[in-house]
Amino acid sequence: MRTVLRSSPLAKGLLALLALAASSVAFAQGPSMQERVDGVLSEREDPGCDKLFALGARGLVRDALIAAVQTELPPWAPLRAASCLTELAVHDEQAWETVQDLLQRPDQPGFVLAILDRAHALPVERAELVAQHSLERAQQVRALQRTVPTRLKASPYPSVRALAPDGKAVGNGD
Amino acid sequence: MFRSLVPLCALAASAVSLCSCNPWDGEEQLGLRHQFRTITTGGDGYATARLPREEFSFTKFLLAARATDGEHTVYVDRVLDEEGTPLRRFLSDLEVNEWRTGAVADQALNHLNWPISDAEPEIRGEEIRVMLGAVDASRNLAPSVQLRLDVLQSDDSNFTSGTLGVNLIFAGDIADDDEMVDAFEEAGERLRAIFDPIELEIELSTSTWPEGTLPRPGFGAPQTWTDLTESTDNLAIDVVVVYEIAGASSDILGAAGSIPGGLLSSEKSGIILSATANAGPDLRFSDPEIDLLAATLGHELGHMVGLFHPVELSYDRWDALEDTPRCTSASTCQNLLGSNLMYPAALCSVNGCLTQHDITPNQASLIHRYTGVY
Repeated sequence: MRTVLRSSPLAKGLLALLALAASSVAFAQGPSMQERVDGVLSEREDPGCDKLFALGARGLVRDALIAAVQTELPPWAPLRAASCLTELAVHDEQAWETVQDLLQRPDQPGFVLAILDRAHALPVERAELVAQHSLERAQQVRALQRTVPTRLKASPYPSVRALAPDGKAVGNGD
Repeated sequence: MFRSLVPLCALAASAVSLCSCNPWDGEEQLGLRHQFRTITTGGDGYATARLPREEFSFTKFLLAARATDGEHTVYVDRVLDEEGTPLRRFLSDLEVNEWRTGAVADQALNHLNWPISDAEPEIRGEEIRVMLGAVDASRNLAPSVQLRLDVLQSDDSNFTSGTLGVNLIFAGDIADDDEMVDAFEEAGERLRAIFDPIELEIELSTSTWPEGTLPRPGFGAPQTWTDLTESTDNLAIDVVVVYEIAGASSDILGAAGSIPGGLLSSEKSGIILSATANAGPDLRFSDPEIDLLAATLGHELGHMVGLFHPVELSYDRWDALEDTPRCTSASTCQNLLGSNLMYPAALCSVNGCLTQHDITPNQASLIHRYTGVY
């Protein structure tokens, strides 16, 4: 009986209808939050965090951003995710934990610049912590030696600006 | 009364004609003919530059316009023939949400390349006119504003093949960072493959510049940008590589000065690229990242020669080219245009990124009409 049903034109029609319905459901749902966040992060021109935050509830966007910092390609996507997580870290502890983790990843010093870029949005204690971590990394990484002090000097917080060394560059890393 | 007006009009016309008898000064620059003059906007805030055939080849030219007072911005309203018939009215494009040239947007320094593409009508008469408007801080057209015009013109009428010079300039400390320099030079080599299919040869040269703190072209440090672009005295597009673009978000990959971009030295004549944003969190370039870097470099060069994104990611603005479809959703646009060099987003998955090297025939036609292509 089952064999007959499967091979009958009626059954085939039913299966086709079911498949069509399933694909319609998928189409109606559209891309997932993760896909939408990844899409915005992949734009060539900086879309700004507000475009990401407008995609849905902050918690959902935050979770997608936390996942996106693991993205490999395009290389700017994880940097942007880190920047926007820093903005969320003003009030969001999960975002702040991720930011702290990213600051200390030994093989990914580029996160320092992305986070420092938005550190002005953080409360002063957190901004100071970011600045201290950034300076430590700048000692070791050539690309950070001038960029980190420049960012620190632009901080709205006097205590962060005071951390910037007098000279233009720090460290002697490579 | 009526009869007496006629000679007055004739007198006025001849006076205008006399005033424009030999208004252009000229010199050779960058191997091209460079002509310049000033004109002043009338009571309506507009001024019309007349380019006579006897002094201009009409094959292709790049006009740069700025207000000499440094306070007003300038835009190009339209291009007309000798009888005053509009050949192209750029505001018409904006009315249908299409971009044909960035010259329609008022800017401190405005560039118009003509012809823009093969869609422009042939100039049949003895004169081509460019109507410019001066805009004040309140966004009103401003009368009595003196405009400085610089026209670089080329007699190269080969619109199917040519060469584009690219100066890769490592600015500041990055010049000593061998790993970064190698990655950008490799991207420069891969750039050739992008433009090969449209028979555009990329002539690459590299140099250094001592100052590494540079903002986007047109966004500050005007004298530094002018000096830097003056230092590369050749017919090529200057691409400045820095660790990070000053005064900008750290995740900005790069930026072109304008669409189209200038060739004569100025605060906007160039491209800037951020090494750190393009390298990603590890600040090192993997092989696929160098591919993406080459595509980013090609994309910004596309802007400099006059290309817009075929669609903006709001899906409600497009370029004005005929063969880039007017799509209206993410999925359709990705399918139709995702592999185009000027698509505004990378399309990547865990399996890698889509190669975005496609250049449509209309885009190629535009590229070959850029005055800097020889």
